[in-house]
Amino acid sequence: MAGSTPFFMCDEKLPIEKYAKYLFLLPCLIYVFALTIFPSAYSLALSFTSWLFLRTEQPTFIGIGNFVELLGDERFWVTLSNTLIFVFTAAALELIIGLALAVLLSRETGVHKVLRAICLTPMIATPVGIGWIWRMLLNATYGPINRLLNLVGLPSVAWLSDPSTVLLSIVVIDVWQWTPFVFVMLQAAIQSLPKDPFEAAQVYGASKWQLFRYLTLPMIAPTMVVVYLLRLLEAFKVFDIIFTTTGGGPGYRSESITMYTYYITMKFWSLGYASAAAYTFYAIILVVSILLFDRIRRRMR
Amino acid sequence: MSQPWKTYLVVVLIIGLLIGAGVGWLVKPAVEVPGPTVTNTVTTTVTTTVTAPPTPVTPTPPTPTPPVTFEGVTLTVATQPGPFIAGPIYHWRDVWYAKTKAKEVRVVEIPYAELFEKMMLDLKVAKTYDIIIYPADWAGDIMGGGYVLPLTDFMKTRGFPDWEDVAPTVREKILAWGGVVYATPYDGDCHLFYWREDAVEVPEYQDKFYEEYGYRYHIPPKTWEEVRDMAEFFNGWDWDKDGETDYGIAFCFARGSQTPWYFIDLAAQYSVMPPEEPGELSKYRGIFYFDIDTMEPLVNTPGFIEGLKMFKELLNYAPPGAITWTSGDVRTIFVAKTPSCALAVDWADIGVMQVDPAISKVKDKVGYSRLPGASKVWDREKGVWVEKFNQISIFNFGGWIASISKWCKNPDAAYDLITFLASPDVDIHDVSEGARKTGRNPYRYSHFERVDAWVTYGGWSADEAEEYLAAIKGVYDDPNALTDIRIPGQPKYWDALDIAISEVLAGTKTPEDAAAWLYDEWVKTTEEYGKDTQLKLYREMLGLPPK
Repeated sequence: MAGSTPFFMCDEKLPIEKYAKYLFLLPCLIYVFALTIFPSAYSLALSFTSWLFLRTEQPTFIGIGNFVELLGDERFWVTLSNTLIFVFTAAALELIIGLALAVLLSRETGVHKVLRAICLTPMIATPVGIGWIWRMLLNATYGPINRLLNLVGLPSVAWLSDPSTVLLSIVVIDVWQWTPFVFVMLQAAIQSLPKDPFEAAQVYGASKWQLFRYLTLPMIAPTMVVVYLLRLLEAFKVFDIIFTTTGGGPGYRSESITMYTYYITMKFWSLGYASAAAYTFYAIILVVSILLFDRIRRRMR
Repeated sequence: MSQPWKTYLVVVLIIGLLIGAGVGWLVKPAVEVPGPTVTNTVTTTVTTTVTAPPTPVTPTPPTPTPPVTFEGVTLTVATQPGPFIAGPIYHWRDVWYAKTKAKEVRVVEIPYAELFEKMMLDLKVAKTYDIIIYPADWAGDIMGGGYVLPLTDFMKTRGFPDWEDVAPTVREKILAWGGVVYATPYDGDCHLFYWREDAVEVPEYQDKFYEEYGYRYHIPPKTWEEVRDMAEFFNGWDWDKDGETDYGIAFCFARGSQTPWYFIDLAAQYSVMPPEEPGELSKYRGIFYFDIDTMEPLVNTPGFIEGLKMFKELLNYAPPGAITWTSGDVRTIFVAKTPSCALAVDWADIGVMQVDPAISKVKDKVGYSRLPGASKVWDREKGVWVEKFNQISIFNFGGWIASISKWCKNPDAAYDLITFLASPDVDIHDVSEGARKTGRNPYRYSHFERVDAWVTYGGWSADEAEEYLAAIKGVYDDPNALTDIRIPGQPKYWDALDIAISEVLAGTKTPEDAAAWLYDEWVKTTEEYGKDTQLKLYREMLGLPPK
């Protein structure tokens, strides 16, 4: 009797079933909307306002005023330049050193395994801890690095306060921490390569360099591109290391754009201007990433 | 065959979970607390327990008038972590519970680097703190912003333990805003000048200095020019005969630390003409930061630039790498002799640390005084240098103060707690006996007069304690003493000052260029906050009538 059949035994689709897929998506959509879309849209709207959070209750619409002001903000451009120098230098060095380590330590002997484990340790530590460790290592008065220099008759260097060495010092710290990441990724890529092409090349008398240049490198190139882009995007967010080692100084010669944005937001409470700075930075990263990705893709073809 | 019932069940479960989560989020848990007033606070930062320092004597809590109890009341206090500022609250809260029958004092400890933003966010949005203990130079944003309760009525009805005993300069310049008291004292702060007696007071070295410089230095040195010469003289040789190279001066130079306070120690001496009558500020006298009529920054004057030049010069006579030193480095290095420095400037901490044999290698070898002055001062009115001795006292940082949030649901209890912590029988322990374990420094006359407490509880010799306290009292007795910038936007003004100093020290800007850049930055900040508003608040900060 049809009337007594439970609803879940029927073949017809219930209305709720038609919309079930949307309901399943709902939690994810709420999450994305609340934590990504809404803050992004809200901060975009804020970038067209002036809002001193501690002094005024409501933001005031000022059009593109913040963006115009940014054009003349020397600190914004210096910190942007610092960030770009840091990002491209650190990411390139990490790729080169990481690749060298991956090639050198790709064999499966006991020594290589131990060396691989040692190489991975910096990546495990928290950036703030690393910042403090390097701050002590590079301390110009009692840091061990200067002590070593003094032992061989060289003068102490104010690594973290001399404008000519400060960015380099921060790059070194970042390279020390993140090269292991590149190393792990590239080593995995190398180990997953097929053996046949290498054996065939060896039969034809290819040298180790030729094996690397004409087989390994082209075959791991896609992984290298991905790793490089990942490091680039991650390095753009640099904050902790600079905050703990130099505080952005001397002057703002080592301040990153993220740090400057943090100051505008959380110290000066100028929320409209901070949003404009953040969006301008975002646009610059977007353009740089697209250009870079496009260029790499064309070269790979 | 499809199984729609499974889909149905899963959907129902998800909806149920969402509704549950939503309801849970919307409904705040009700906390049932017996007593007249309930404070339902939410602690957003991890609360840490600090081991209370031992007390050799049982303190006598002040007796409020009329005596009151706050049975079952819970208060939330937000402040800086660690034993220095939060520690005394943990230490004394049990005594306060016994006195008032209050239920709990929760301490929200926030690292200094995040303290301002977290405190302001709570005052503006979350509204969970009852009491805040904060640096006095945030008064413009906190008191001027109307986030804390005026204490005038409380003081009238409940009294304040020995109010007259608190140094008048603290009462008027630190605790008040626009003539209204908004805070109780918690910690006093000013810079002192320190020297190693085994360097500066050695007759042989004094004679040698005379031969090289053609005059005898004063002890303590009178001017920064004298300090510069002394620092140069004691720099780079083994004057304490321990086989190590010793240096001239320990000073704070790092960006993002406490450098602006050290810089003002110098710059104010060259820039500020003292008032003609004590405490009578005028357009050209007793003013350091802005013109009191136009709000024009006074950072591009020859006096200010002279301060920058002298500050950079002192760096030459500090140990290698001192450009990265924070005030923490200054005091640690000075007392631990790593390396030895003949001269130093610091808050009262070096004095406190040098008596502690666990960390000090200079015990009984340190002299104290007020900051040196300058041999000349820039007269802004006439636009000329005045060649005469000029000495300006400064409340560097101004100490930590306690206020009641305007959102506090039990202000009577909050007032009782902050006055209890500031009462003479309680705070004498923290500033003397507990001085090595807390960061509280003297601010009451009784702190300066009760030398016995420093000897008995602090391990000082009477002579040393007297010399140390006299140096601090010299600043507190000065009605012309400068405070920090305390108007809204203080972090932004301060950050620009910090950057300008840092650029000069690093050699990336000349003192003149840095001063010009700083002037522009301060003008921009003033305009951003509204020139008229800032002028009004600046005059309030100085205790001047509206223009």
